[in-house]
Parts: sequence; C-alpha cells; structure tokens
Amino acid sequence: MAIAVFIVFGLLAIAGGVGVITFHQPIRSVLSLVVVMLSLSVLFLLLSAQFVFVVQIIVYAGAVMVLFLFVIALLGPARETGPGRLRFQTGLSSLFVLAFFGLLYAMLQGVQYRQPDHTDLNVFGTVQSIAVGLFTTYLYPFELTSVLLLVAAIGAIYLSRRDES
Amino acid sequence: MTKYVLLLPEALVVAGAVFMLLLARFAPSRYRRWRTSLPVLAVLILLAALAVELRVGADVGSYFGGALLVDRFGLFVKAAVLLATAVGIAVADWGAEDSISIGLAMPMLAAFGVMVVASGGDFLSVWAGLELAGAAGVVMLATRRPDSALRLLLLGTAASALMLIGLAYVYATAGTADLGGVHGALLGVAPTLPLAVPVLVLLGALIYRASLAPLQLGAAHGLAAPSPMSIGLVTGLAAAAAVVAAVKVSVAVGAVSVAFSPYVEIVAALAMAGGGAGALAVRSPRTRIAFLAAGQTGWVIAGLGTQFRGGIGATIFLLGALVVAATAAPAAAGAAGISELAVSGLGTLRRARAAALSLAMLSLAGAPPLAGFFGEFTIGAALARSGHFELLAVGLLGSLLSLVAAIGTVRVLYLQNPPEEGRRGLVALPVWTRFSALGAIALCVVIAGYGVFANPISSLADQGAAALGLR
Repeated sequence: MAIAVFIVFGLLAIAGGVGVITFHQPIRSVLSLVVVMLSLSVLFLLLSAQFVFVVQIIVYAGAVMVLFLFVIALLGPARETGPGRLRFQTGLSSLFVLAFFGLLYAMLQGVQYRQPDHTDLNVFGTVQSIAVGLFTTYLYPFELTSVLLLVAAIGAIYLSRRDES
Repeated sequence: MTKYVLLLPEALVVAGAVFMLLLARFAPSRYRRWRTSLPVLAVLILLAALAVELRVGADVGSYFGGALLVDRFGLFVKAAVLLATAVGIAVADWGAEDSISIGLAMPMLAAFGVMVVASGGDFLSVWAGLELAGAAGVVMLATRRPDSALRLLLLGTAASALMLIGLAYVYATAGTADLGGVHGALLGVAPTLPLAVPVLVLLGALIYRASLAPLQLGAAHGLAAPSPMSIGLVTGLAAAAAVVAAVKVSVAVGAVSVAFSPYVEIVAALAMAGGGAGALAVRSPRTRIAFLAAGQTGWVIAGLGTQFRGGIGATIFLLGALVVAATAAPAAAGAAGISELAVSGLGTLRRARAAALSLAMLSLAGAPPLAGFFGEFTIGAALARSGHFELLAVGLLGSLLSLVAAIGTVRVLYLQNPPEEGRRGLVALPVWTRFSALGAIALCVVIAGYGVFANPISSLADQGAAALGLR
C-alpha cells in the first residue's frame, strides 16, 4: 500500500515539476508548484514525519504559494513571449538530463543506506521530537537562521529596487 | 565557563552589525552625524570579538550536543576572519561605498557566517553559515549592481543545490549529519565510485563557490563596477566560508579520499594554473586580485587532497593568509582598482595604501617572504611528501604566472607617474584619512607579520588540523 502511494505521489510530484517549467502562464506554473508541494507533503507523511507534513501544507502549499499567486495577480499574469531559448538548448538539456539520471541511478545502486543511530521510531517526526532537536542540539544553527532571513530580506529589498536614474 | 560565554564573540559581531542597520533606519540624524565614526566603531567591535575569542576559544569542548565545537581549528579560522574583516573595514575607502551601514553590517555578518562554519559540528551549521556568508555577498553587490548580485545569487543557488545533493547521499551512507559521526561511519565503507561521485559533487560545489564566484566580478562594468568592499567580501569572506566548509567536509569524508582525491587534484590544478594565467591576462588590479585569489584557492584545494595532518595544517595556514589578503586587497585599491591607469603612481600619492595593496597582491601571488609564500611552500612540501609531483609542478607554474602579474601591478603603482587628473577619468583616488592610513599600515603589518611569525602560526594551524581528527 505504502509503495503504491509513494509511486502515485512521486509521479505526481514529477508531473508538477514538469508543469512548472513547461507552462507559459505564470499562474499555471504556480498551481503546478502547489501540486509538487502537496505531493511532497504526502511523501513526508510516508516517512513518518507528521509535523513536516503539516508544515509543508500550511506554510508552503498554503501561505507561500498563495503569496506567489497574489504577487503574480498584482503584477499582471503576462504570458511568456518569444522562444526564450538558446541555440542547442534542447539537445544540451537532454544530454544533461540523461547524464544526471545515469549518475543518479549509479549512485542509488551503490549507496549502502544506514539507519540513523539512537532513533526512537515512536517519537520520530513528532512535534515534540522536532522541538527538542531545535531547542537543544540545533539551537545554534536555528538561531542563526533568523540572521540569514534578515540578510535575505535586505537583499530582496535591494534586488527589487527600481533604478531611479 | 558556560557555553553562552563561548558565543560572546559571535554575539558581539552580530549585535554590531544589527546596530549599524538599525541606526541607519531608525535614527537617521544620528547616523548622519556619526557616519564617519562608524567604521572605527565596527573595527573596535571586531577587535573586541577577536580578543574575547583568543581568550575563550583557547578552551576545548563540544556544546549543544556536538553542534558547536570549540577547538584550535575554530580558534584559528575565527581569529583570521575577524582580523581580515577588521583590517578590510579599516583600509576601505568609504567614499567609494554606496551605504556605510550596509557596507559595515554585511562584512560583519559574513564574518559571522565563516565563524559558524568554523565551529559547526554538523552539516546543518556548516550549510547555514555558508549561506549566510553568501547572502551577505549578494546584498553588498546589490547595493550598486543588482544584475551582478542576481547572477551571484543564481550561481550560489546552483552550488547550494549540488552541495545539498551531495550532503543527502553522505547522510544516507553514514546515517548521521554529525561531522565526527560521518568520519567514524565512513571508516568501514568501501571507497566505491558511487560513493565518490556524491562526495565529489559536494566538494565540487564548495570549491566552485570558493574559486569561481570571484571571477564573476570583473571590471567589465567600468565606472558602475561593484563597490570595492563588496568585491572584498565576495572574494575573501564568502570564498573563505566555502573553503572552511570544504576543509571540514573533506576531513569528515577522508576515509574515502582515495576515490575522490584524483578529481580534487584536477580541480586544484585548473584553479592554480587558471588563476595565474587569468591574472596575467587582465590589466585591471581589481580583476587581477580576483584571479590571484582564485589561484591561491587552488593551492588550498590541492592541500585538501593530502589528507594527513601536515598537509591539512598547511592548508589551514594558507587559508588564514588568503582570507586576509583577498578581503583587504580590493578595499585597499578602492574605486581606483577598476583600471591600471587609475592606480598609476599611487605609490607617490597614497604611500600606505599602495604599500598595503602591493603586499596583499604579492602575498596572494606567493611571493617570499610573505604569508602566501610560506603557506604555498608548506603545501608544496606536503604535496611532495605525498608524491603529488605533477600537481606541485602545475602549482609552481601558476605561482610564477601570478607573481609576474602581481609585479606588473606593483610596477604601475610605483614606477609609473601619476596621470593628470583629466586623464585619470572619472575615477577618484581613495580619500586620505588618518583612519584609512592606519588601516593600510595595519594591513602591511598583518601580512608581513604573518610571514615573520610563520613558525608559531603554522604550529597553531597544525593544532587545528589535529583538532579535526587528523594524525
């Protein structure tokens, strides 16, 4: 059963990803991204990561994607015009995709997966276990993330600033 | 001593950076009144953090369940990066910067990012610190060149994606994200190609961030080129974060180094020879500094392939010299660094600044008896000891090319007459201030002192390599 769910939602995630880059209408690309996010959330649930599943839906599929939709609606959902492609882009991309999948296959064949040590599957993925991790072991990088977000916000302001000259 | 005292240097640096940002936003009148004093304040904060770090960082321990490591490696890197940032801010020509608050806050936050990478005990800390340093570079570039910033953002994002793919595979194989745990878990794993490929992708992404990003910052923009401090941040601090991460990760996955070392050596050879050739091919001092830094980064990468205490110790030693010179050199050149004509005769017009720029460039080129020379010499000795004579030969060729290029700029600084103001174009010479002259002298002292005291500093770097678990 779990395998079937994994295959269905894995394929759906890939289809959504393909949709993001193939649709010319930004709105459709964003909606495809919502499909990717929702599919990923189900994959997280299959990995017993309940909290990440909920967060993925509420924060990504909900808040972030709705924000994207609002921004696109405000700016005007103009259709992508022109070919926008370089010469040989299709051939080169196909070559890279083939090479990447070949590499991925080779790596998956050779990796000996190892179960994380000291993992209690009864609490794995719960709000409690994530909170304990965030406020003990990962407190330092967690707090650092706030500084990272501050820098990202300043960067976004500068990057979106219009050249007045 | 509690673990929170150990974080005092980091707290000082972040508080200082946030203060600069808040002052400009919420107290504009005071900001305008104090703006000439703010660089002095920033340098004092960084030096205070350095003093505290030298005091509390001398203890050894592991905190937050292994996420924060206090060891000699962290002490060495943090001291080097705090010193580099302080000297870079002191020597900068603040008249050539667009925003003093951003120009002070971002280097401090980038320094904080490198400090986090240096003391991080797991993949998460290393990744977060690296991203912070990279993001600070993007912000600094965006103040004048949003297009360059966007390009750097995209390149950095691609590198991060590759790095995360590599980290995911290493995590799957080792079963832990803890660097010490990864080191232990991989000891019993066969160094097969399927494992080497993700490790190589991971290290390749870090090396890419360290050595190729500076090459995006040429003088092609002319007068609208990115500000000197932003070049120093991206070429020095952001690259240092990637190199420090590469050192830590390469040691953690050192058990399978047989599988990936040959590829790392190829990348190192390309960076060393390419950096030297690139430096020789361009005339702009600023672009030349970027190529010299890329060439010296190649030496650092070559040291990663040795995987024994002496080799990694030499790598850490050279890393310290690289971060100081690469961060401060573009700042010392100021806006005039975009063209050779603009810096002609700087040796007679701005003596301290010209001396600082010369020493920094010669150190990046590996000229004796400066810091860069001793670092490259010890890495060369480690390469010879481990039988990598081909790589050593390529490195020497790269250093020779770099040296010729650096001497070319020094000749322009001292032997050419200053052009008439009309011919200099719209590029103004760096404004002389007592503080910037003091900063230039400090840069000279640091680079010369690093060479003079190479032995004790090298000994501390060796202790840093031992702290990473190498024998």
